[in-house]
Parts: sequence; structure tokens; C-alpha cells
Amino acid sequence: MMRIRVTTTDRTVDSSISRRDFCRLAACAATGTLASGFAWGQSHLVQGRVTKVALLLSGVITDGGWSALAYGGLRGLARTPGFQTAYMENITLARMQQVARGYSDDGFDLIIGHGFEFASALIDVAPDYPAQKYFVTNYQPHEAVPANILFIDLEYYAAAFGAGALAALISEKKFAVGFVGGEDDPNQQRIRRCFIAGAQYAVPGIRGLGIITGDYDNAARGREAAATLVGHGADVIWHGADVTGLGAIEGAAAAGIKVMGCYSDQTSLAPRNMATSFELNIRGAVETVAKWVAAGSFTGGREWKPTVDEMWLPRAGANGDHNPKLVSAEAWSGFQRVWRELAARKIAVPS
Amino acid sequence: MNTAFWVTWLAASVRLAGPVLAAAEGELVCERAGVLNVGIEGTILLGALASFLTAQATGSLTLSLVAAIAAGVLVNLFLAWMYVTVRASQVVAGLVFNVLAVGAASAIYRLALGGETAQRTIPTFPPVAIPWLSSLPIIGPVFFAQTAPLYLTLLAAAGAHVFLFRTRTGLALRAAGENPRAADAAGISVERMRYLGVLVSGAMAGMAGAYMVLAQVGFFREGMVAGQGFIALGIVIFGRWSPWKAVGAALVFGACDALQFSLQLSSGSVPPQLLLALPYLVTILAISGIFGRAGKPAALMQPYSRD
Repeated sequence: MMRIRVTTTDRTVDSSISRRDFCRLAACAATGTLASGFAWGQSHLVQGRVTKVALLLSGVITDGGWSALAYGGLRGLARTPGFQTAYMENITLARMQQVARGYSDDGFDLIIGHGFEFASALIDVAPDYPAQKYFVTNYQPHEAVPANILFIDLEYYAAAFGAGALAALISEKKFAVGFVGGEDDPNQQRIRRCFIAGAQYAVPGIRGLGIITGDYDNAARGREAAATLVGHGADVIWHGADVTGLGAIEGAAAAGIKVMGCYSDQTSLAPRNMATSFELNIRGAVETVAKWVAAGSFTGGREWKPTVDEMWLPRAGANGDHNPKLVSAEAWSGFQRVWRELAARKIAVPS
Repeated sequence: MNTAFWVTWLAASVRLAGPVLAAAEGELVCERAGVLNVGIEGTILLGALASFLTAQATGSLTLSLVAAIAAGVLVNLFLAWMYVTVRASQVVAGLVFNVLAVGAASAIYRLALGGETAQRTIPTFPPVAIPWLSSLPIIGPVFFAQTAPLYLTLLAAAGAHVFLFRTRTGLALRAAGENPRAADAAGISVERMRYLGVLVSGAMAGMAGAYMVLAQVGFFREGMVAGQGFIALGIVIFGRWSPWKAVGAALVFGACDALQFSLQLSSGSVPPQLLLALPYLVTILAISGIFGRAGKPAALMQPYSRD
């Protein structure tokens, strides 16, 4: 299933018609809905310079996690004067290049591929469209990349280390803390190692447990992974597994232990058990890069390296950054010390 | 390996087996009637959505379970018409239906969300500890402290066995799947039996969807079925089209799936990639026929016409 939304917050005159607009108008005319085609076309009647931003997603905006975060950034842009936004969901690997070229042909100034899976496709497309800018929300895969494409170091490993430290600090029994991972890839394996290292850095001797479920989208597996961790003595659980991780939160809540969210503020999923959530600031990254493009200050061919405290924001709903009923002042203070050291890159996280 | 290993592994095995077993028991009845219902993957998803939306609207878990079963029956009326009346290719119709179901579920869920992307959850069925039995060592927490949908699924397996092998209608349904022409000559309505099989399959697949939402995770996501309908198809073959053997097959699949979790915590020598592939490897081996003759219904996937 493919869906496209286009929104605009400003108006200007655009005398040209893109291939995509033409196809849309033709389709509308063919189905007798020409009025709706004109209504869409009027969104191009704008005053002043408009920066057009397209977001490409392999998931859906209602996933309550990874894709929803980037979509949140796009929605923020849509509300900002001078930006026009579009997005497409459920893009398969086979169609990534085709979709990226479609938006490039249509004159979108910035095309964002959300996730590592877009890296190869956008690296291939970028040299053919030097006027466009591309942003992939993942690591730079190799040294030489086109000058108009930007990558980002999301500081996953530092965040995992910090999460491990906080989990150990808020553990009641100080026996074991657990991590539930998604697909079995080197990133998730390293995140697991960093979580365990963080836990043992904060509380020497505590057991760090980790299960890689092999799936980002299977909540039932996440729940069972959490139950298995609890059965092995873990009394705090963190995840890095999107929808599978939501199941892990349910599993932890069912077992009555503390849990920490990931990617977004997940307090609402288990308000009584959620100590904090490590919200990935993709929204801020999307908005920042789009504003660089609008201002003409975008510089590509590199990897952007924000610090962990810029990229990951502890959130706990109405409680602010942590739930004081689950996190003591002493534990929070200890975590902040570790967090500051990670932000200053004074702690070497495992490779 | 300590007690924690055995209890966590076996309990997770039973819980993971639940939804696929529910879907497999319905599919088994359907295939016994001669129809391969590939559309159960989509039906599970629609059942999950129906149960989630009903739980949100009413707060009643029982009503949500009923709504999921009703949704499964309703959408499988269409599938039954395609398979039996239109005599469309059962594989193609089922696969296309699965794609349609994802689109429909996505559209309905978004309409229900009203544009927000916040996470909504619903309460889930609590575990029900059966007195005395649940306190038995290892076996107690594994088998006798589960949720109501699991007990219902096991009752459904018993019901499927009784229906297929102890009732006149069950005999007629099996006849429609083995030799529809002879069944027709004996006065059995093959069309009616096959409709019945598909609708039973729809009801159980809808229940499997409700199981995931109401007993496992407490929320709905478009990709949450994650191929479990196809695993159920494999379990029917693995279980040799027998309701009781299907219970064993589902437990083996659940055990393989859960084993990766426990072994990751207790063994550093087994490659994690092998553990992750284990449940699928076992399923492929099971349906390959290596472990004996499959013994499928003779007229499975054969459309029937009196002409």
C-alpha cells in the first residue's frame, strides 16, 4: 500500500507542472474527479520561496515509534511558513530508487530517507540530481559519498550505554537488567553490548541480559522476550525494537517491573511502570536539516554528529524527564553524571 | 539448565503457540472440506482490528472477542463465495485478499485514530490460575496459569475433533474434502459443507487476531500478524490434518520460537542466527514430508461443480 499526502503552508506562483502533477491530474480527469485535481494543483499557487521536503518511509506513520517520529518532524515543517511537505509510506527496497527519483524530478529540495535501508538507493540517486539535497537518518556507510547527501550518527550506542546505566541504578534487587532487541543485525548486537556495559559501569557486578528477537514488528515476541528476561531475574527492561519493543513494555508491565521506553515517549503504554523513555530526536534532526536547506547552509558529503544529549531526550509524560516514583533522586543524579560524560565523549562505549 | 530456564521457555512456548493454534484449528476444518484458505493471514489482522476497536469502544473483552469472531466470519463469507461459488484459484484469491485486508485494516485504523499518531492501549485478559493444578512444579505455571483465550483455543481443538470425527455433519464435511462427487451422490451438499469449512476457518482466524490483541499485547498495529497466518498453514500440514496433532505441532513451533530467547541467555556457543531461524527451519522440515506421508484431503484445492 502506498499513500501520499501533500500539505503547504505558503503560496507562490509555479508556472511549471511536474510529471507527478500531470499524472495526478490525468488520473483525476479519467475518474471524473477533476475538481479534486484542481484543488490539489492550487497548493502550488504560493508567494515567495518554498522549500519542498519529501519523507520516504519503509514503515507507516501510525507505528507509534520509528516512522511516527520522522513524520512528527515533517508535520512540524508543514506548520512552518515556507515549507511544503510530502511523504510516502511502505516503500519496499525495490522501489526506493524509483520513488526518490520521482520526488527529485518533481523538484523537491530535500528528500529524506528514514532508515539505513535508504542509504544505498539515495547514494545512487544523489549524483544525478546535484541541485537536490538528500538526508539519510542513519550512519554514513562508507567514506566517499556524494556531496549533496548527509548522514547522521544517531548516537545509538552512547544512548544504549546510558540506558543500561540508568536501568542498573533503578534496579531494586541489583541482580539483573534486560534488553529486548529487534532484528539480528550488527547494530542491535552492539546496542545490546553497550546496554550491558552501561549497566555494569554504573553498578559493578550486576548481570546485563539481552535478547535479540529477530523482528522489529512482532509485539508478541517482544512480550515473551520480556517475560523470559523477568524469569531470569531482570527487574528493569529497556528495548530498542520498535513494535516488538511495545510488546516488551507490555510484558514488563504485566510482570509488574520497571521498564524504559525507546524512540518516543512511551509513558502512556505503561504509566505505572515506565521510569523514563529515551526519545530519539529525529523530529529535531528533520527540522534542522530542512532549515539548513532553506537557508542554503546545507553541507553534504559527510556524517552529522550530534551529541547523545542532543539526539536522545529522556521523557516521562507529565512527569517531565523521569518518573520520580520509580527513579530515586540519587539514581537520577547518578544517571545524569554518566549522561554528561557520554555527551562529552569521555566514556568509550564498546565496539 | 535451572528451573527458571524450563519454566520461562515452556511458558513462552505455550503462549506463542496460542494464536497460531487457534488459526490452525479453523484452517484444518476448512482444508478437511477441500478448501485451502490462504486468506487467514488477512482475516487474523481484521479480527485483531475488530477486537481492538470494540475494546476501545465498549471496554468489554468478551464482546471484543465476539466481535473479532464475527468479523472473521463476515469477511470469510466473501472468501467462501470466491473459493466455492466462483471457483476462483484458492491460492490467488487468498493472497490477494491478504493484501486487501492490510489496506482495509490500515485505512480503518487511521480513520479510528482521527489523524493522531499517539499510542493507544487496551486492557488484556489476565492469566487465570486453575486451582491446585497451577501450583504444580514447572507444569503448573506453564499450562495452568494461562489466559482465557488459550483455554478457549484448547476447547476449540477438542471441539474440532468431536465435530470432525463424532458427528454426522463432520463426516459430511470430510466427505466433501475427500471425494466431493461421491459425497454429492450420497445427497451431501458439497457447496454447503465447503462454505461451512471456510466460515469456521474465518471464525477461528478472527479469534486468533483477538488473541494477539486481547491476551498478548493490548494494542493494534498494521504489521502485527507478521506471517503467523502462514505459520498456521504449515502447522495444519505438520499436524497431519488432525486437531490433536495440530496442538502438538503448534507447541513444537512455539517451543522452537521461544527456545531462542532462553538459549540467548544461557548459552554463548550457539550462533544466534541459527536460533532465530530454528522455528522456520522446523516448519519447513515438518511440511516437507521427510517425517512421513502428509495424508492431505484428497480433493484439497479442487473446485467442485455438479456439471
